[in-house]
Amino acid sequence: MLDVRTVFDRLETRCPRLGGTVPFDYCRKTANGLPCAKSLLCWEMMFPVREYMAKVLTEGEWRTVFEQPPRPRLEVILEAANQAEVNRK
Amino acid sequence: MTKKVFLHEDELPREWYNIGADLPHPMPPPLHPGTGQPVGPDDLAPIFPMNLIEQEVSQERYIKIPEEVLEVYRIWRPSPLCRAERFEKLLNAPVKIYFKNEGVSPPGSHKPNTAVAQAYYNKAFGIKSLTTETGAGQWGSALAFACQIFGLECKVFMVKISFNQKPYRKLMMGTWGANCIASPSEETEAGRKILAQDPDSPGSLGMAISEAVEAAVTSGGDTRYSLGSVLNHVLLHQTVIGLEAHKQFAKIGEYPDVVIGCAGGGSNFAGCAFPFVRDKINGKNIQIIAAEPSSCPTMTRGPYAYDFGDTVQMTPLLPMYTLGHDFVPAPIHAGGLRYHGMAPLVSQLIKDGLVEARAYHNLETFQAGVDWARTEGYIPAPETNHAIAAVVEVARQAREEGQEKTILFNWSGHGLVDLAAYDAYFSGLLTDYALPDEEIQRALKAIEAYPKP
Repeated sequence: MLDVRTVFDRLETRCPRLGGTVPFDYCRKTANGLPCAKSLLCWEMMFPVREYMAKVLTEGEWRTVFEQPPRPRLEVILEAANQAEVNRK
Repeated sequence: MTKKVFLHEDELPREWYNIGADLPHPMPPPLHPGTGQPVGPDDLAPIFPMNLIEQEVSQERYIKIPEEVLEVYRIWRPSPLCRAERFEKLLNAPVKIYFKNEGVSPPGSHKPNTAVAQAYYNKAFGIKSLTTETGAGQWGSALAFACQIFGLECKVFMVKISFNQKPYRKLMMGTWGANCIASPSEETEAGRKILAQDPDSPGSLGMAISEAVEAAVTSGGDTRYSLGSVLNHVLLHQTVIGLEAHKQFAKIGEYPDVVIGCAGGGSNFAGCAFPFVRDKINGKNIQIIAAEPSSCPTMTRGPYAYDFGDTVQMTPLLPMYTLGHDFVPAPIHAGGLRYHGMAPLVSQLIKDGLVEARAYHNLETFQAGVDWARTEGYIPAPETNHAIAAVVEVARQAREEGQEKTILFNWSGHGLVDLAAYDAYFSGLLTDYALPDEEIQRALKAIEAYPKP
């Protein structure tokens, strides 16, 4: 039986963040199991990625990935530092 | 016709330009995720040295470049301002095209302009070792070079999927004495957690950042973290590019009508453009374009529905993969999503109408890069190709409008260690609709067949 989640996995494109070629399999689960926020932009010319995402994500997941304002990098760095301190203690 | 405009070494700018002092609308301070209060120097002290923290929040218009940094800059700076006459002929448009060749640096890109400065300031602060993350390896190799020059240890967490794809960047870092580690790794708690869940994890930038920051803040005090884009002090150090260009244009009695840079994280664009944005703020009539990557062709883009700034998507989330949902998502246009990863300073300038953002499709950027290589000789880095695609678009417009234009763009690096990307382009991997239409329809049909909740 065809696995809906993996039907486009073998496609590849250039990742503007990593600067290299990545398969769709990477993009759809790179953010702690959820898709990269850029995946609509990066894949829309390769296949109907918007329709795909609307099918495989819940509405809440969609909002989390594509509609939440992203956090500034500095905030991300500070959170990583805090987490490291917590882990150390 | 002058092909290259040089500056003498003693004409190297002695100050960086801080655009924060000239913003029409000052940016709000970043907030601490724990307290919700504005981030203060003490919050940043375990991560960055205090001298760089001071630059991060500085409102001084000009900041002196230390002599020790100038001495290292002289290895490749001042970089030449070059005229792309062969490319002009190919475009057959009434334009003069000038580019700052930042590919002449040892790592082959603009990145060491800040890597050298950051290594120097860390050394001056008594730091012994730097950590960082890298995607493709351009930043990691620049920091490796800079750390070697100043006698610092350097540990680079490289996203595993890139680590496995890009052996030459890894070798460059090793040649300059850095320790390049595939992320996630066993070296950090963050990495070990990920590997425990998924031993084959290909990594992500978010994971690599977590590892690099953890390695710095748990080091016992003699290690700090270093970032190659986005932050204010990074963009500040890059302005040496545009400040040199300013002097070079003055030498030949010219001034650009259009300034272009590729804007991924913003440092490449900012370096070339900010000194000219300063002129625009002061009344100069100049068009400034930030060229960004996109997979969609220009014609399909709509207005911005969301105004996103930056993300690494670090929030812990439970992967659910609940299939069968069929909601109608709110419209999100490409314009909004493009802001992910861009420097706050650049985003602010776009909001203020001082900078225009344009996105270019993979295919048109590689076509522009190949045309460039076949006329001007140098093979550009894939990121640089975005700026070249913008040059092509501006030249076409100039031809259609019958207007003469002088264009400056930042040729931010060579692509000699990125030839696999060209291979992907030549082999048709980046082609639109990589799957045949029938196969797409079959896949979508399969999705449709799933039961609705």
